[in-house]
Amino acid sequence: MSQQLSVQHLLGIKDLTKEDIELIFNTADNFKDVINRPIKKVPSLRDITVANIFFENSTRTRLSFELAEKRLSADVVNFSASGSSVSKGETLIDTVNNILAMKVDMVVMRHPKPGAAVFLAKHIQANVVNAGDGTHEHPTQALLDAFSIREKLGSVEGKKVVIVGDILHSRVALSNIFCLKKLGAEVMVCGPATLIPRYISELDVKVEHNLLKALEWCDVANMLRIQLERQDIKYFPSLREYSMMYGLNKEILDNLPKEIVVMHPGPINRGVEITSDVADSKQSIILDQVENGVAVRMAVLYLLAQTR
Amino acid sequence: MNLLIRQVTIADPNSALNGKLVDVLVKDGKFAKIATKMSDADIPAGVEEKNGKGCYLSPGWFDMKVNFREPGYEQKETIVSGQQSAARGGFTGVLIMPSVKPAIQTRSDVEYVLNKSKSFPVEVFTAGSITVNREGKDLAEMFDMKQGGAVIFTDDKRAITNSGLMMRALQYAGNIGTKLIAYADDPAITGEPLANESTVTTTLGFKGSPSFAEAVMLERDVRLMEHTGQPLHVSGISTAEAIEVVRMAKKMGLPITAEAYAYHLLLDDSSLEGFDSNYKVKPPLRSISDRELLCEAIADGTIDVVVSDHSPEDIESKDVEFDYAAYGMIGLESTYSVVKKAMEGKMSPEFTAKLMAINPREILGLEIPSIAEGAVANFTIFNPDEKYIFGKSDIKSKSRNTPFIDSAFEGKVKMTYNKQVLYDNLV
Repeated sequence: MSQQLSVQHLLGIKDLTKEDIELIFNTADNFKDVINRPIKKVPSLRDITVANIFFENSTRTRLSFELAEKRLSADVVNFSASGSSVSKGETLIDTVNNILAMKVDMVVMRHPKPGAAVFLAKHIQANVVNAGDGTHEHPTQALLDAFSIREKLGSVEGKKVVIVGDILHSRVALSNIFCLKKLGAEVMVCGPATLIPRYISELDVKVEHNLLKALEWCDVANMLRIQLERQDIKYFPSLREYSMMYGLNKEILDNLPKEIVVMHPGPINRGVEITSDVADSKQSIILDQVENGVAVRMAVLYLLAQTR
Repeated sequence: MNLLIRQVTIADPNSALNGKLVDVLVKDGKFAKIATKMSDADIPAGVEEKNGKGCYLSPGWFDMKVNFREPGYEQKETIVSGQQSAARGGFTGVLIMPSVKPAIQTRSDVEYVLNKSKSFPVEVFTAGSITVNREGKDLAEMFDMKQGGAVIFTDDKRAITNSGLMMRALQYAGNIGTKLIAYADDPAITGEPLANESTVTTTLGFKGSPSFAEAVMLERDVRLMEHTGQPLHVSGISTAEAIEVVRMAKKMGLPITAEAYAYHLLLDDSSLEGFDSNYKVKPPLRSISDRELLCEAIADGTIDVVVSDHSPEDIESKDVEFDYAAYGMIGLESTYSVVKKAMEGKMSPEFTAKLMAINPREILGLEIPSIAEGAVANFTIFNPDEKYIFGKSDIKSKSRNTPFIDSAFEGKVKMTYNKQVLYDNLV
């Protein structure tokens, strides 16, 4: 493969071209074959050491990155903020520089604050992969979401995707909007008015507060997790009332005029965003998303390593 | 020291010499002679001569909003380093904000600051806190502070959200013959003011502070002014909505005055795209149209003064993730150049003198330096046409937190003179 990404870091979908995204997808197709073989491993990153630095809790994203790295034969070190030197007051740059001093080539970082990955990339030599920075971006999630839509529906272009839930605090929503728009999809956001950013429609995104109308419009519904941990004040009265207005259940799904695809970035609050029977239905591609996550992250790491 | 400035133009709407090209002789701290042509007989021996070609001489400028960080954060700025920074920026007088640690909230706090400032020729005045610890709960001893020399009162960038308390503070200030500075913000709407609420900040993942929050609080303050009959100076006007409220209040004949921060005139929220914490200020940088309307409001007199909001921060407080970085930028050295650039031809030398020297002192009730033979010499010399690149060597502050390093400007401060001391920017 001779093609290269236009960027040295994956900080956000904002910085990628459509060609970058397509390159990542084509590379991920190959890696998806790899991870479905009896021997799930290739030697591509044999000489690369990757540090997974997580300043915020994560189970699946970290696991997915770690698997992707290991299947590319990279050496992997993990670092999480709790119980580390961060709690002793060390700064981000010092923490990362200490890790880099041990000769690390790539850093995958999750951080609770927007712009942290941009900040890190300005200060260090290694390739940086943003695994979520506050309410800013979560580029690999958006890539795997779009990859999964492409896999399920053949392409992303022209498809209608609604993102439902807490758009205000969601890096997944923002990265998804950028990614889907770049690939030619139509995007709508749906949720309570208190959780929809005022200027979101300026990004050429439709806004709808009625879930039923949104579902009738769409081909794909991406049901975001309600992240109470990221809400500093109350934006709606209760989870019960949220799920009355924005929860997707089997009855709603079955009464729609067409069969839509249901997605969720996980972890699911079963019974809040979607009910169990929806999560486990044949229309749900939630577990495909998880599988594709590994392939897409392998593609990202592999392609970034080519830019070194 | 005696000083002769050759061929300088006077910029002072209060002076009979306004607009005249003159030679100025300063002897023993006073204007000894101001004449279109100075004869050799007028010039004493040993006088230091300066060429004023292309320059204007204005009454010494005054910045009514600076933070000198002493006591509490002397590693960021001391009163003396702040004074040096002010002199470099063309200011012969400043008003210190009470937001140091501990806050300036007793007479001894006021006296401490004033005593510390006596060794340098930039005149330092201080504002006292309206409430104890600037917490917006209980009134501080404003009368005693005033006796000690505090000239005005403010909780700095904390709006007093308790309307009843604000009403009583206004009444009490009127009672003791002083004035308040209000900060226009409704923090319950604003939240953490990391960024303006706009399209560009939405794409950066910021929750965003809606611009109308300023006007909400300001409208309340205007009602309180009406009710109490007291004057009010409002700080931090950064939005179109707030400008409208000030305009309306002035139309109603209320004794309201308003100030804007220099950086809001030149910068907008698109600067946040690289998450550079030098652009993290309070109130946050607003939209391009807010910025333009702010410049218009200054030109038409709706906004009375522009201040530096000089806020020194050390590297440790700034070179961190955007959220964790401290708010503010230094500004004393760059304020004139920034305002000149932003105002695009609307900064005549005469208007510069009014905006930078006369209006702030009028609001604070301080004596305005005059330019006339026999008057005490307190002046600033500037060249509105000189082009230069603002560099680190222009900064006298202990801190370096400004995005303007390496920026090109047209309009430069050349020297200041006060208390018989010349501060020459070439030296």
